[in-house]
Amino acid sequence: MREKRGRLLSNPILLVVIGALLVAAVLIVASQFSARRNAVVVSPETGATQQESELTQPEKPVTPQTILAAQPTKGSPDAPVTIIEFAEFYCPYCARYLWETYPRIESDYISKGLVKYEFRNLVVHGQPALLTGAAGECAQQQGKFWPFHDRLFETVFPGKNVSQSKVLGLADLKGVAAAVGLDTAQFNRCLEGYDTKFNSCYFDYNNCTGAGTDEESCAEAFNACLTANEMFQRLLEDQEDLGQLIENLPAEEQAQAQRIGTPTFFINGHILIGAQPYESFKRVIDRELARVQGQ
Amino acid sequence: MRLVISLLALLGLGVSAYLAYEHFCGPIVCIGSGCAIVNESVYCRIFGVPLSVLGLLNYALILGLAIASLRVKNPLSSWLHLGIFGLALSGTIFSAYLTYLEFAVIRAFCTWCVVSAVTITAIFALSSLKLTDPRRGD
Repeated sequence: MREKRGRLLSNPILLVVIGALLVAAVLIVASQFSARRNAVVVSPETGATQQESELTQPEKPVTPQTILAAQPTKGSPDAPVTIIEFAEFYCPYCARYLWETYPRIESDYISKGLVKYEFRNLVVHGQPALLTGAAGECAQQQGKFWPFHDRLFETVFPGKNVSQSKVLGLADLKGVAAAVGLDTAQFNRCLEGYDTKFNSCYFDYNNCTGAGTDEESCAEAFNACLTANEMFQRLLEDQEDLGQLIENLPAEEQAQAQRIGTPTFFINGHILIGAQPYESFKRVIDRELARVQGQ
Repeated sequence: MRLVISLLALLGLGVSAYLAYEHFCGPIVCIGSGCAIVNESVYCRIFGVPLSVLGLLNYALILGLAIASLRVKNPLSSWLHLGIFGLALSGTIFSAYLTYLEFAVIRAFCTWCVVSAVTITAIFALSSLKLTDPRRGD
């Protein structure tokens, strides 16, 4: 036995093979760990240090730009205050906001008809986030965005643990849709349509850059290619809404637009960045309510 | 054969240098007016080191060993060759894993990443041929 082991160790080829296997294994494990960490680390700011002084009353009232009727909306359409949330399903701060802060906004304002609440996608985590964004749009097509949205966050952050996100594939998303009672045939068709389109556009994009064409024009062609898909187009429209809301910010809030991340909120056109404590939302909402009632 | 390996390593070096230069991990897809969408896979870096840089290092080492082995005689040359074999083996396994990710998880693949995977596999095949039959032509 010992002799055999001795021979094994003295065989240099075997040693090299074992070494190479170990190196490859370490790389693969490191890649998995790193991917898991990247999924969370590339996250935008918490915005926890927002300054009150930046939220002083503007000279002229700002109204939110209006926005497509078919966007996911909660609350009374006649509510005096509108909150538009820009978020992404892989964003841990968005999840934390949803679970810690949003319920209080819902019970104190939305359910009382004081706030109308809208959701928009702001994709920051690339391709997987685009896919979940498109999935949300597919759910919205059936008028069931909100249950899908809630379940999706719980699926991305299992056990509501925001420090570990799970990257979802087509099958996971279909599972979420089925779990919240969507018409699965219609949902699957919608999402697969987006996915197939994305893959073919991305294939072209890689060939384009591979052929040495400059990145910018390849990216442009990529966008043009994807725009043919309705769900992607809706994600694009969300981006355009964001651009418009930023443009219409009061002058003293313009500077904040430089550091937009997810989640970002527009409360009657006033910007609030990050998963801030409930009190920050309350302050702005109450001020807006007082202003509207004073008119 | 060592010459072929050197040429392949040179090809791999070129490909990974290109990938590193093009910042394949960087923001490559912009949407709308702003470059808000960053199409970066979470697998693009290992703890901050882009995969292209790892590939670059591996090919550089293989190329160095292959060129050195052209210039020295046995038994040193055999040891150098064993080094090439080891680097190519771990490179091939890791490339196979990455290619699996491209197809199964990320569901998109980049032409140059596939070229690199094929290159490292070819280097591995050649070096194991040479290892099992050292007399095989140089």
